[in-house]
Amino acid sequence: MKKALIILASVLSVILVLGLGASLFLNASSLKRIDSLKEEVRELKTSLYGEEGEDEYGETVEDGVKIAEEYEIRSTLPISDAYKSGDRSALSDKEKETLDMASEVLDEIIKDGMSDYEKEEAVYLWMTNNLQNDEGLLPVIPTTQDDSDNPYGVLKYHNAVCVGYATTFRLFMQMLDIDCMVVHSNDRSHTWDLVKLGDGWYHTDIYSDVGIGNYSHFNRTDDMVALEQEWDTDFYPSADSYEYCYVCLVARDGEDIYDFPRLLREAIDSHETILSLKYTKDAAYIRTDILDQMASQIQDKLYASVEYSSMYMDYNTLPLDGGFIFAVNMNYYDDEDPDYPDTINEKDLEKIDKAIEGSFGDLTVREDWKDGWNENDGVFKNSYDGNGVTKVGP
Amino acid sequence: MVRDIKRAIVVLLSLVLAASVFGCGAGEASPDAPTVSIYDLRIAMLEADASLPVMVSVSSADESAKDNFLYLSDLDYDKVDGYFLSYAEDGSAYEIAVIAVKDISDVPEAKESLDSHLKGRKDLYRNYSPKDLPLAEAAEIGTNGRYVYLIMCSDAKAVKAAMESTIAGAKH
Repeated sequence: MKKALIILASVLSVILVLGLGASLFLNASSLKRIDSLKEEVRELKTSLYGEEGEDEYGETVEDGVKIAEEYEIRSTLPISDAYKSGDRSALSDKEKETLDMASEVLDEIIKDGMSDYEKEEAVYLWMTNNLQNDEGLLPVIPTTQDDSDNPYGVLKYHNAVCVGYATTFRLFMQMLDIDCMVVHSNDRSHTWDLVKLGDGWYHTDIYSDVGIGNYSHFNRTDDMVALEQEWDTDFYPSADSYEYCYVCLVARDGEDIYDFPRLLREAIDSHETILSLKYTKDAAYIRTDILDQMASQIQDKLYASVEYSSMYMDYNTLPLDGGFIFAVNMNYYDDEDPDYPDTINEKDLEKIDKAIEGSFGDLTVREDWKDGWNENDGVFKNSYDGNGVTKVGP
Repeated sequence: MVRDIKRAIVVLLSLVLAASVFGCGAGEASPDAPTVSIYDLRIAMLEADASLPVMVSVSSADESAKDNFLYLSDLDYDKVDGYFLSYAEDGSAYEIAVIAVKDISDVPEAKESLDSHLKGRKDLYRNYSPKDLPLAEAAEIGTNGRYVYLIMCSDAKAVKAAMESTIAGAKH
Protein backbone atom coordinates (compact mmCIF):
# COMPACT_ATOMS: atom_id res chain seq x y z
CA MET A 1 0.00 0.00 0.00
CA LYS A 2 2.74 2.32 0.97
CA LYS A 3 4.58 1.57 -2.18
CA ALA A 4 1.49 2.33 -4.23
CA LEU A 5 1.11 5.68 -2.55
CA ILE A 6 4.70 6.53 -3.16
CA ILE A 7 4.38 5.66 -6.82
CA LEU A 8 1.18 7.71 -7.11
CA ALA A 9 2.80 10.69 -5.46
CA SER A 10 5.79 10.41 -7.75
CA VAL A 11 3.61 10.29 -10.86
CA LEU A 12 1.58 13.30 -9.71
CA SER A 13 4.74 15.24 -9.01
CA VAL A 14 6.09 14.54 -12.45
CA ILE A 15 2.81 15.58 -14.03
CA LEU A 16 2.83 18.79 -12.01
CA VAL A 17 6.37 19.63 -12.99
CA LEU A 18 5.74 18.92 -16.65
CA GLY A 19 2.55 20.94 -16.58
CA LEU A 20 4.27 23.93 -15.03
CA GLY A 21 7.09 23.73 -17.51
CA ALA A 22 4.65 23.61 -20.40
CA SER A 23 2.71 26.57 -19.05
CA LEU A 24 5.82 28.69 -18.71
CA PHE A 25 6.97 27.74 -22.18
CA LEU A 26 3.60 28.57 -23.77
CA ASN A 27 3.41 31.94 -22.03
CA ALA A 28 6.85 32.89 -23.23
CA SER A 29 5.98 31.82 -26.77
CA SER A 30 2.74 33.82 -26.72
CA LEU A 31 4.49 36.96 -25.57
CA LYS A 32 7.06 36.58 -28.31
CA ARG A 33 4.33 36.06 -30.89
CA ILE A 34 2.45 39.17 -29.71
CA ASP A 35 5.57 41.29 -30.06
CA SER A 36 6.10 39.94 -33.54
CA LEU A 37 2.49 40.66 -34.51
CA LYS A 38 2.76 44.22 -33.19
CA GLU A 39 5.74 44.78 -35.42
CA GLU A 40 3.89 43.35 -38.43
CA VAL A 41 0.93 45.65 -37.79
CA ARG A 42 3.21 48.65 -37.53
CA GLU A 43 4.90 47.77 -40.81
CA LEU A 44 1.54 47.24 -42.52
CA LYS A 45 0.24 50.57 -41.24
CA THR A 46 3.36 52.33 -42.46
CA SER A 47 3.07 50.77 -45.91
CA LEU A 48 -0.61 51.79 -46.15
CA TYR A 49 -0.49 55.26 -44.65
CA GLY A 50 3.13 56.27 -44.74
CA GLU A 51 5.27 57.26 -41.77
CA GLU A 52 3.69 58.35 -38.53
CA GLY A 53 2.24 61.81 -38.85
CA GLU A 54 0.82 61.39 -42.32
CA ASP A 55 -2.93 61.41 -42.88
CA GLU A 56 -4.23 58.03 -41.89
CA TYR A 57 -7.73 58.76 -43.13
CA GLY A 58 -7.11 58.10 -46.80
CA GLU A 59 -8.66 60.11 -49.62
CA THR A 60 -10.42 63.37 -48.71
CA VAL A 61 -14.16 63.54 -49.16
CA GLU A 62 -16.63 66.29 -48.26
CA ASP A 63 -19.47 64.29 -46.70
CA GLY A 64 -19.40 61.23 -44.48
CA VAL A 65 -16.50 62.63 -42.45
CA LYS A 66 -16.53 62.39 -38.66
CA ILE A 67 -15.30 65.41 -36.75
CA ALA A 68 -13.95 65.03 -33.21
CA GLU A 69 -14.75 61.33 -33.68
CA GLU A 70 -18.37 62.09 -33.03
CA TYR A 71 -20.05 64.56 -35.40
CA GLU A 72 -20.67 63.56 -38.97
CA ILE A 73 -20.84 65.86 -41.98
CA ARG A 74 -23.90 64.79 -43.95
CA SER A 75 -25.25 65.96 -47.28
CA THR A 76 -28.42 68.07 -47.27
CA LEU A 77 -28.89 68.05 -51.05
CA PRO A 78 -32.28 66.30 -50.82
CA ILE A 79 -33.56 69.25 -48.76
CA SER A 80 -32.18 72.00 -51.02
CA ASP A 81 -33.28 70.11 -54.14
CA ALA A 82 -36.80 69.85 -52.69
CA TYR A 83 -36.76 73.61 -52.01
CA LYS A 84 -35.80 74.42 -55.56
CA SER A 85 -38.12 71.90 -57.21
CA GLY A 86 -41.06 72.31 -54.86
CA ASP A 87 -41.35 68.53 -54.59
CA ARG A 88 -40.90 67.40 -50.98
CA SER A 89 -42.50 63.98 -51.34
CA ALA A 90 -39.19 62.14 -50.97
CA LEU A 91 -38.24 63.87 -47.73
CA SER A 92 -38.50 62.32 -44.28
CA ASP A 93 -40.53 64.15 -41.63
CA LYS A 94 -37.36 65.51 -40.07
CA GLU A 95 -36.14 66.76 -43.46
CA LYS A 96 -39.50 68.39 -44.11
CA GLU A 97 -39.34 70.19 -40.81
CA THR A 98 -35.77 71.30 -41.57
CA LEU A 99 -36.89 72.59 -44.96
CA ASP A 100 -39.75 74.54 -43.35
CA MET A 101 -37.49 76.14 -40.76
CA ALA A 102 -34.84 77.05 -43.34
CA SER A 103 -37.43 78.41 -45.77
CA GLU A 104 -38.88 80.62 -43.06
CA VAL A 105 -35.47 82.15 -42.42
CA LEU A 106 -34.83 82.84 -46.09
CA ASP A 107 -38.28 84.35 -46.53
CA GLU A 108 -37.43 86.77 -43.75
CA ILE A 109 -33.91 87.83 -44.75
CA ILE A 110 -33.62 87.51 -48.54
CA LYS A 111 -35.01 90.36 -50.63
CA ASP A 112 -35.55 90.59 -54.37
CA GLY A 113 -32.63 91.98 -56.29
CA MET A 114 -29.97 90.93 -53.77
CA SER A 115 -26.63 89.89 -55.23
CA ASP A 116 -25.09 86.56 -54.22
CA TYR A 117 -22.70 88.42 -51.89
CA GLU A 118 -25.60 90.24 -50.22
CA LYS A 119 -27.51 86.99 -49.81
CA GLU A 120 -24.48 85.32 -48.27
CA GLU A 121 -23.97 88.27 -45.94
CA ALA A 122 -27.64 88.20 -44.92
CA VAL A 123 -27.37 84.51 -44.02
CA TYR A 124 -24.09 85.13 -42.15
CA LEU A 125 -25.66 87.94 -40.11
CA TRP A 126 -28.79 85.95 -39.32
CA MET A 127 -26.81 82.91 -38.18
CA THR A 128 -24.27 84.82 -36.10
CA ASN A 129 -26.92 87.00 -34.47
CA ASN A 130 -29.54 84.35 -33.78
CA LEU A 131 -27.58 81.26 -32.92
CA GLN A 132 -25.00 80.44 -30.29
CA ASN A 133 -22.20 77.98 -29.71
CA ASP A 134 -23.02 74.73 -28.03
CA GLU A 135 -20.72 74.85 -25.05
CA GLY A 136 -21.61 71.27 -24.33
CA LEU A 137 -18.86 70.44 -26.79
CA LEU A 138 -16.12 71.76 -24.53
CA PRO A 139 -16.32 69.59 -21.36
CA VAL A 140 -14.11 66.50 -21.47
CA ILE A 141 -17.24 64.33 -21.56
CA PRO A 142 -19.43 66.38 -23.90
CA THR A 143 -22.95 67.20 -22.88
CA THR A 144 -23.94 68.50 -26.26
CA GLN A 145 -27.35 67.48 -27.39
CA ASP A 146 -28.46 65.26 -30.23
CA ASP A 147 -28.74 66.86 -33.67
CA SER A 148 -26.17 69.51 -32.80
CA ASP A 149 -24.30 68.50 -35.95
CA ASN A 150 -27.02 69.05 -38.53
CA PRO A 151 -29.39 71.80 -39.72
CA TYR A 152 -32.39 70.26 -37.95
CA GLY A 153 -30.79 70.75 -34.54
CA VAL A 154 -29.26 74.11 -35.43
CA LEU A 155 -32.51 75.64 -36.62
CA LYS A 156 -34.69 74.04 -33.96
CA TYR A 157 -32.56 74.57 -30.85
CA HIS A 158 -30.40 77.48 -31.98
CA ASN A 159 -27.17 76.04 -30.70
CA ALA A 160 -24.83 73.54 -32.24
CA VAL A 161 -21.29 72.39 -32.85
CA CYS A 162 -19.17 73.48 -35.82
CA VAL A 163 -20.44 70.69 -38.08
CA GLY A 164 -24.00 71.86 -37.48
CA TYR A 165 -23.22 75.43 -38.50
CA ALA A 166 -21.14 74.48 -41.50
CA THR A 167 -23.79 72.13 -42.90
CA THR A 168 -26.59 74.62 -42.14
CA PHE A 169 -24.75 77.42 -43.90
CA ARG A 170 -24.15 75.13 -46.86
CA LEU A 171 -27.86 74.22 -46.89
CA PHE A 172 -28.81 77.90 -47.08
CA MET A 173 -26.30 78.52 -49.87
CA GLN A 174 -27.51 75.51 -51.85
CA MET A 175 -31.12 76.66 -51.45
CA LEU A 176 -30.00 80.01 -52.88
CA ASP A 177 -28.13 78.28 -55.73
CA ILE A 178 -24.74 79.50 -54.51
CA ASP A 179 -21.93 76.92 -54.68
CA CYS A 180 -20.71 75.98 -51.24
CA MET A 181 -18.57 73.21 -49.72
CA VAL A 182 -18.05 72.12 -46.12
CA VAL A 183 -14.32 72.06 -45.35
CA HIS A 184 -12.82 69.99 -42.55
CA SER A 185 -9.37 70.43 -41.04
CA ASN A 186 -6.75 67.73 -41.61
CA ASP A 187 -6.85 66.72 -37.97
CA ARG A 188 -10.67 66.45 -38.16
CA SER A 189 -11.22 68.81 -35.28
CA HIS A 190 -13.06 71.64 -37.03
CA THR A 191 -15.26 72.45 -40.01
CA TRP A 192 -16.24 75.61 -41.87
CA ASP A 193 -17.39 76.57 -45.39
CA LEU A 194 -16.01 77.58 -48.75
CA VAL A 195 -18.47 79.66 -50.76
CA LYS A 196 -18.19 80.69 -54.40
CA LEU A 197 -18.97 84.26 -55.34
CA GLY A 198 -18.31 85.31 -58.91
CA ASP A 199 -15.18 83.48 -60.05
CA GLY A 200 -13.62 83.18 -56.61
CA TRP A 201 -14.01 81.05 -53.50
CA TYR A 202 -14.00 82.39 -49.94
CA HIS A 203 -13.75 80.82 -46.49
CA THR A 204 -16.54 81.57 -44.01
CA ASP A 205 -16.59 80.11 -40.51
CA ILE A 206 -19.97 80.71 -38.87
CA TYR A 207 -19.16 78.83 -35.66
CA SER A 208 -16.21 81.10 -34.87
CA ASP A 209 -18.31 84.25 -35.27
CA VAL A 210 -21.55 83.06 -33.71
CA GLY A 211 -22.71 85.39 -30.97
CA ILE A 212 -20.19 88.00 -32.14
CA GLY A 213 -20.95 88.63 -35.81
CA ASN A 214 -17.87 90.76 -36.24
CA TYR A 215 -16.99 89.47 -39.71
CA SER A 216 -13.65 88.24 -38.44
CA HIS A 217 -14.20 84.86 -40.13
CA PHE A 218 -16.29 86.08 -43.06
CA ASN A 219 -15.06 85.69 -46.63
CA ARG A 220 -11.37 85.07 -46.02
CA THR A 221 -8.61 83.94 -48.32
CA ASP A 222 -6.48 80.80 -48.06
CA ASP A 223 -3.57 82.87 -46.70
CA MET A 224 -5.65 84.17 -43.84
CA VAL A 225 -7.15 80.81 -42.86
CA ALA A 226 -3.82 79.01 -43.19
CA LEU A 227 -2.63 80.91 -40.11
CA GLU A 228 -5.08 78.86 -38.03
CA GLN A 229 -5.99 75.71 -39.89
CA GLU A 230 -4.64 73.02 -42.19
CA TRP A 231 -6.89 71.40 -44.77
CA ASP A 232 -6.47 69.44 -47.98
CA THR A 233 -5.75 72.21 -50.44
CA ASP A 234 -5.49 69.70 -53.27
CA PHE A 235 -9.08 68.64 -52.77
CA TYR A 236 -10.74 71.95 -51.98
CA PRO A 237 -10.70 74.90 -54.42
CA SER A 238 -8.25 77.71 -53.84
CA ALA A 239 -9.56 80.85 -52.19
CA ASP A 240 -7.16 83.44 -53.54
CA SER A 241 -9.55 86.04 -54.88
CA TYR A 242 -9.83 89.46 -53.25
CA GLU A 243 -13.01 90.60 -54.99
CA TYR A 244 -15.33 89.61 -52.13
CA CYS A 245 -12.74 89.16 -49.41
CA TYR A 246 -14.25 91.12 -46.53
CA VAL A 247 -11.11 92.77 -45.18
CA CYS A 248 -10.38 93.94 -48.71
CA LEU A 249 -13.86 95.38 -49.14
CA VAL A 250 -13.68 97.43 -45.92
CA ALA A 251 -10.01 98.41 -46.15
CA ARG A 252 -9.19 102.08 -45.89
CA ASP A 253 -6.04 103.66 -47.17
CA GLY A 254 -3.12 103.65 -44.80
CA GLU A 255 -0.40 106.27 -45.07
CA ASP A 256 2.27 106.31 -42.41
CA ILE A 257 2.62 102.91 -40.70
CA TYR A 258 3.42 104.66 -37.41
CA ASP A 259 -0.10 106.04 -37.49
CA PHE A 260 -1.33 102.48 -36.94
CA PRO A 261 -1.46 102.61 -33.09
CA ARG A 262 -3.58 105.77 -33.15
CA LEU A 263 -6.02 104.30 -35.67
CA LEU A 264 -6.22 101.05 -33.72
CA ARG A 265 -6.87 102.84 -30.45
CA GLU A 266 -9.70 104.81 -32.06
CA ALA A 267 -11.19 101.58 -33.36
CA ILE A 268 -10.91 99.84 -29.99
CA ASP A 269 -12.39 102.76 -28.07
CA SER A 270 -15.30 102.71 -30.51
CA HIS A 271 -15.65 98.97 -29.89
CA GLU A 272 -15.14 98.23 -33.55
CA THR A 273 -14.29 94.69 -34.47
CA ILE A 274 -12.10 95.15 -37.50
CA LEU A 275 -9.47 97.57 -38.68
CA SER A 276 -8.28 96.98 -42.20
CA LEU A 277 -5.60 99.20 -43.68
CA LYS A 278 -4.49 99.14 -47.29
CA TYR A 279 -0.99 100.21 -48.12
CA THR A 280 -0.19 100.82 -51.76
CA LYS A 281 1.73 104.07 -51.83
CA ASP A 282 5.43 103.38 -51.72
CA ALA A 283 4.46 99.88 -50.62
CA ALA A 284 7.93 98.57 -51.38
CA TYR A 285 9.23 100.63 -48.48
CA ILE A 286 6.52 99.68 -45.99
CA ARG A 287 7.85 97.39 -43.26
CA THR A 288 5.23 94.76 -42.47
CA ASP A 289 7.48 93.40 -39.74
CA ILE A 290 7.18 96.77 -37.99
CA LEU A 291 3.40 96.58 -38.18
CA ASP A 292 3.50 93.05 -36.73
CA GLN A 293 5.80 94.21 -33.94
CA MET A 294 3.54 97.14 -33.08
CA ALA A 295 0.47 94.92 -33.06
CA SER A 296 2.22 92.42 -30.79
CA GLN A 297 3.33 95.08 -28.32
CA ILE A 298 -0.12 96.65 -28.32
CA GLN A 299 -1.62 93.23 -27.54
CA ASP A 300 0.70 92.92 -24.52
CA LYS A 301 -0.26 96.40 -23.34
CA LEU A 302 -3.94 95.65 -23.70
CA TYR A 303 -3.62 92.41 -21.75
CA ALA A 304 -1.71 94.13 -18.98
CA SER A 305 -4.33 96.87 -18.70
CA VAL A 306 -7.36 97.01 -16.52
CA GLU A 307 -9.52 98.45 -19.29
CA TYR A 308 -8.84 95.90 -22.05
CA SER A 309 -7.32 92.81 -20.45
CA SER A 310 -10.20 90.66 -21.68
CA MET A 311 -9.84 91.46 -25.35
CA TYR A 312 -7.49 89.95 -27.86
CA MET A 313 -6.62 90.65 -31.45
CA ASP A 314 -5.59 88.57 -34.37
CA TYR A 315 -3.92 90.26 -37.28
CA ASN A 316 -2.48 89.34 -40.63
CA THR A 317 -1.01 90.74 -43.79
CA LEU A 318 -2.56 90.08 -47.17
CA PRO A 319 -0.59 90.71 -50.31
CA LEU A 320 -2.40 92.91 -52.78
CA ASP A 321 -1.42 94.01 -56.25
CA GLY A 322 0.89 96.92 -55.74
CA GLY A 323 0.87 96.62 -51.95
CA PHE A 324 -0.77 94.81 -49.08
CA ILE A 325 -3.58 94.92 -46.53
CA PHE A 326 -2.90 94.78 -42.80
CA ALA A 327 -6.07 93.53 -41.10
CA VAL A 328 -6.74 93.39 -37.37
CA ASN A 329 -9.77 91.64 -35.85
CA MET A 330 -10.65 92.72 -32.34
CA ASN A 331 -12.48 90.32 -30.04
CA TYR A 332 -14.04 91.60 -26.87
CA TYR A 333 -15.02 89.34 -24.00
CA ASP A 334 -17.39 90.47 -21.28
CA ASP A 335 -15.89 90.71 -17.82
CA GLU A 336 -18.12 89.27 -15.09
CA ASP A 337 -17.31 92.25 -12.94
CA PRO A 338 -15.78 95.08 -14.98
CA ASP A 339 -14.67 96.85 -11.80
CA TYR A 340 -12.65 93.84 -10.65
CA PRO A 341 -9.16 93.82 -12.15
CA ASP A 342 -8.10 90.43 -13.41
CA THR A 343 -4.39 91.11 -13.50
CA ILE A 344 -2.05 91.59 -10.55
CA ASN A 345 -0.06 94.78 -10.95
CA GLU A 346 3.09 96.03 -9.22
CA LYS A 347 1.22 97.68 -6.38
CA ASP A 348 -0.68 94.46 -5.69
CA LEU A 349 2.62 92.56 -5.64
CA GLU A 350 4.12 94.96 -3.13
CA LYS A 351 1.13 94.63 -0.85
CA ILE A 352 1.20 90.83 -1.18
CA ASP A 353 4.88 90.68 -0.29
CA LYS A 354 4.44 93.02 2.66
CA ALA A 355 1.52 91.00 4.01
CA ILE A 356 3.37 87.69 3.65
CA GLU A 357 6.65 88.94 5.09
CA GLY A 358 4.83 90.31 8.10
CA SER A 359 3.78 86.79 9.09
CA PHE A 360 6.37 84.51 7.48
CA GLY A 361 9.45 86.67 7.18
CA ASP A 362 11.10 84.99 10.18
CA LEU A 363 11.45 81.61 8.41
CA THR A 364 14.95 80.45 7.44
CA VAL A 365 15.40 80.03 3.68
CA ARG A 366 16.73 76.63 2.58
CA GLU A 367 20.16 76.50 0.98
CA ASP A 368 18.86 75.09 -2.30
CA TRP A 369 16.30 77.89 -2.58
CA LYS A 370 18.60 80.80 -1.88
CA ASP A 371 19.65 81.24 -5.47
CA GLY A 372 16.20 80.44 -6.72
CA TRP A 373 17.08 76.96 -7.96
CA ASN A 374 15.42 74.01 -6.28
CA GLU A 375 17.67 71.08 -7.09
CA ASN A 376 15.13 68.57 -5.85
CA ASP A 377 12.42 69.61 -8.26
CA GLY A 378 14.70 70.85 -10.99
CA VAL A 379 12.62 73.97 -11.61
CA PHE A 380 13.31 77.59 -10.94
CA LYS A 381 11.44 78.99 -7.99
CA ASN A 382 10.67 82.48 -6.80
CA SER A 383 13.46 83.79 -4.64
CA TYR A 384 13.22 86.06 -1.66
CA ASP A 385 16.05 88.49 -1.13
CA GLY A 386 15.43 88.84 2.56
CA ASN A 387 13.82 92.23 2.21
CA GLY A 388 10.46 90.71 1.44
CA VAL A 389 10.63 91.41 -2.28
CA THR A 390 9.64 88.56 -4.55
CA LYS A 391 11.71 88.04 -7.63
CA VAL A 392 10.16 85.88 -10.30
CA GLY A 393 12.17 83.93 -12.85
CA PRO A 394 15.84 84.17 -13.87
CA MET B 1 15.11 3.95 0.04
CA VAL B 2 11.54 4.84 0.75
CA ARG B 3 12.63 7.68 2.93
CA ASP B 4 14.89 8.97 0.16
CA ILE B 5 12.03 8.92 -2.28
CA LYS B 6 9.83 10.78 0.15
CA ARG B 7 12.47 13.42 0.64
CA ALA B 8 12.92 13.73 -3.07
CA ILE B 9 9.18 14.23 -3.54
CA VAL B 10 9.07 16.86 -0.83
CA VAL B 11 11.95 18.76 -2.41
CA LEU B 12 10.42 18.46 -5.84
CA LEU B 13 7.04 19.70 -4.70
CA SER B 14 8.71 22.59 -2.90
CA LEU B 15 10.51 23.53 -6.07
CA VAL B 16 7.25 23.32 -8.00
CA LEU B 17 5.57 25.55 -5.46
CA ALA B 18 8.39 28.06 -5.66
CA ALA B 19 8.36 28.01 -9.45
CA SER B 20 4.61 28.60 -9.57
CA VAL B 21 5.03 31.63 -7.39
CA PHE B 22 7.93 33.18 -9.24
CA GLY B 23 7.83 31.59 -12.72
CA CYS B 24 4.54 33.11 -13.74
CA GLY B 25 5.27 36.28 -11.90
CA ALA B 26 6.91 38.08 -14.85
CA GLY B 27 5.36 41.42 -15.43
CA GLU B 28 3.30 41.65 -12.29
CA ALA B 29 3.24 44.81 -10.25
CA SER B 30 6.08 45.38 -7.88
CA PRO B 31 5.32 43.43 -4.71
CA ASP B 32 5.63 46.58 -2.63
CA ALA B 33 3.39 48.78 -4.89
CA PRO B 34 1.05 50.80 -2.67
CA THR B 35 -2.68 50.48 -3.07
CA VAL B 36 -4.04 54.00 -2.95
CA SER B 37 -7.74 54.66 -2.81
CA ILE B 38 -8.61 56.38 -6.06
CA TYR B 39 -11.33 58.26 -4.24
CA ASP B 40 -8.90 59.53 -1.59
CA LEU B 41 -6.46 60.53 -4.29
CA ARG B 42 -9.11 62.46 -6.17
CA ILE B 43 -10.29 64.29 -3.07
CA ALA B 44 -6.77 65.21 -2.01
CA MET B 45 -5.85 66.54 -5.44
CA LEU B 46 -9.05 68.52 -5.98
CA GLU B 47 -8.85 70.08 -2.56
CA ALA B 48 -5.28 71.20 -3.19
CA ASP B 49 -6.30 73.92 -5.65
CA ALA B 50 -8.87 76.28 -4.18
CA SER B 51 -9.31 78.09 -7.49
CA LEU B 52 -10.87 75.16 -9.32
CA PRO B 53 -14.30 75.83 -10.80
CA VAL B 54 -17.20 73.41 -10.39
CA MET B 55 -15.75 70.06 -11.39
CA VAL B 56 -17.42 66.90 -12.63
CA SER B 57 -15.76 63.63 -11.66
CA VAL B 58 -15.97 60.14 -13.08
CA SER B 59 -13.96 57.16 -11.95
CA SER B 60 -13.38 53.44 -12.08
CA ALA B 61 -15.96 53.05 -9.34
CA ASP B 62 -18.79 54.14 -11.65
CA GLU B 63 -21.07 51.83 -13.55
CA SER B 64 -20.10 53.42 -16.84
CA ALA B 65 -16.43 53.55 -15.90
CA LYS B 66 -15.21 51.76 -19.02
CA ASP B 67 -17.22 53.99 -21.39
CA ASN B 68 -16.15 57.16 -19.63
CA PHE B 69 -12.53 56.07 -19.67
CA LEU B 70 -12.58 56.34 -23.45
CA TYR B 71 -12.93 60.11 -23.16
CA LEU B 72 -9.61 60.17 -21.35
CA SER B 73 -7.46 57.42 -22.80
CA ASP B 74 -7.31 54.74 -25.46
CA LEU B 75 -5.37 52.42 -23.14
CA ASP B 76 -6.87 48.94 -22.99
CA TYR B 77 -9.16 49.12 -19.97
CA ASP B 78 -8.06 45.65 -18.88
CA LYS B 79 -4.70 47.21 -18.05
CA VAL B 80 -6.26 49.77 -15.72
CA ASP B 81 -6.32 49.14 -11.99
CA GLY B 82 -8.24 52.32 -11.31
CA TYR B 83 -8.68 55.88 -12.54
CA PHE B 84 -10.44 59.13 -11.95
CA LEU B 85 -11.12 62.03 -14.28
CA SER B 86 -12.23 65.40 -12.97
CA TYR B 87 -12.99 68.22 -15.40
CA ALA B 88 -14.59 71.65 -15.39
CA GLU B 89 -18.34 71.51 -15.78
CA ASP B 90 -18.30 74.63 -17.92
CA GLY B 91 -15.78 73.17 -20.37
CA SER B 92 -12.94 75.47 -19.34
CA ALA B 93 -9.40 74.12 -19.28
CA TYR B 94 -9.37 72.64 -15.76
CA GLU B 95 -8.77 68.93 -15.72
CA ILE B 96 -7.15 66.49 -13.29
CA ALA B 97 -6.86 62.80 -14.04
CA VAL B 98 -4.93 59.85 -12.68
CA ILE B 99 -4.68 56.37 -14.18
CA ALA B 100 -3.34 53.54 -12.03
CA VAL B 101 -2.11 50.69 -14.22
CA LYS B 102 -1.98 47.09 -13.03
CA ASP B 103 1.41 46.44 -14.57
CA ILE B 104 4.14 49.01 -14.24
CA SER B 105 5.38 48.14 -17.71
CA ASP B 106 2.19 49.72 -19.09
CA VAL B 107 3.05 53.13 -17.66
CA PRO B 108 4.67 54.44 -20.89
CA GLU B 109 1.64 53.43 -22.92
CA ALA B 110 -0.70 55.07 -20.42
CA LYS B 111 1.38 58.24 -20.48
CA GLU B 112 1.33 58.30 -24.27
CA SER B 113 -2.45 58.02 -24.22
CA LEU B 114 -2.66 61.07 -21.94
CA ASP B 115 -0.31 62.99 -24.25
CA SER B 116 -2.69 62.21 -27.08
CA HIS B 117 -5.69 63.25 -25.00
CA LEU B 118 -4.06 66.55 -24.09
CA LYS B 119 -3.27 67.28 -27.71
CA GLY B 120 -6.93 66.80 -28.56
CA ARG B 121 -7.94 69.18 -25.78
CA LYS B 122 -5.49 71.82 -27.01
CA ASP B 123 -6.85 71.51 -30.55
CA LEU B 124 -10.37 71.92 -29.21
CA TYR B 125 -9.48 75.08 -27.28
CA ARG B 126 -7.48 76.44 -30.17
CA ASN B 127 -10.56 76.21 -32.36
CA TYR B 128 -13.39 76.89 -29.95
CA SER B 129 -12.08 78.67 -26.88
CA PRO B 130 -8.69 80.33 -27.43
CA LYS B 131 -8.80 81.98 -24.02
CA ASP B 132 -8.47 78.53 -22.46
CA LEU B 133 -5.45 77.57 -24.54
CA PRO B 134 -2.74 79.05 -22.24
CA LEU B 135 -3.90 76.88 -19.34
CA ALA B 136 -3.97 73.84 -21.60
CA GLU B 137 -0.44 74.61 -22.84
CA ALA B 138 0.79 74.69 -19.24
CA ALA B 139 -0.73 71.31 -18.40
CA GLU B 140 1.56 68.72 -16.83
CA ILE B 141 1.63 64.98 -17.56
CA GLY B 142 3.87 62.70 -15.51
CA THR B 143 4.24 59.43 -13.68
CA ASN B 144 4.67 58.27 -10.11
CA GLY B 145 5.30 54.55 -9.91
CA ARG B 146 2.32 52.93 -11.57
CA TYR B 147 0.30 56.14 -11.51
CA VAL B 148 0.10 58.37 -14.55
CA TYR B 149 -1.35 61.83 -14.08
CA LEU B 150 -2.60 64.82 -16.01
CA ILE B 151 -2.86 68.11 -14.14
CA MET B 152 -4.31 71.13 -15.89
CA CYS B 153 -5.18 73.91 -13.45
CA SER B 154 -3.92 77.12 -11.92
CA ASP B 155 -2.01 75.57 -9.03
CA ALA B 156 -0.60 72.43 -10.61
CA LYS B 157 2.27 72.38 -8.12
CA ALA B 158 -0.04 72.06 -5.12
CA VAL B 159 -2.16 69.41 -6.81
CA LYS B 160 0.92 67.38 -7.71
CA ALA B 161 2.25 67.68 -4.17
CA ALA B 162 -1.08 66.44 -2.82
CA MET B 163 -0.93 63.47 -5.16
CA GLU B 164 2.64 62.57 -4.17
CA SER B 165 1.82 62.91 -0.52
CA THR B 166 -1.24 60.68 -0.79
CA ILE B 167 0.66 57.99 -2.69
CA ALA B 168 3.62 58.15 -0.31
CA GLY B 169 1.26 57.89 2.63
CA ALA B 170 -0.20 54.68 1.23
CA LYS B 171 3.22 53.02 1.31
CA HIS B 172 3.39 53.18 5.08
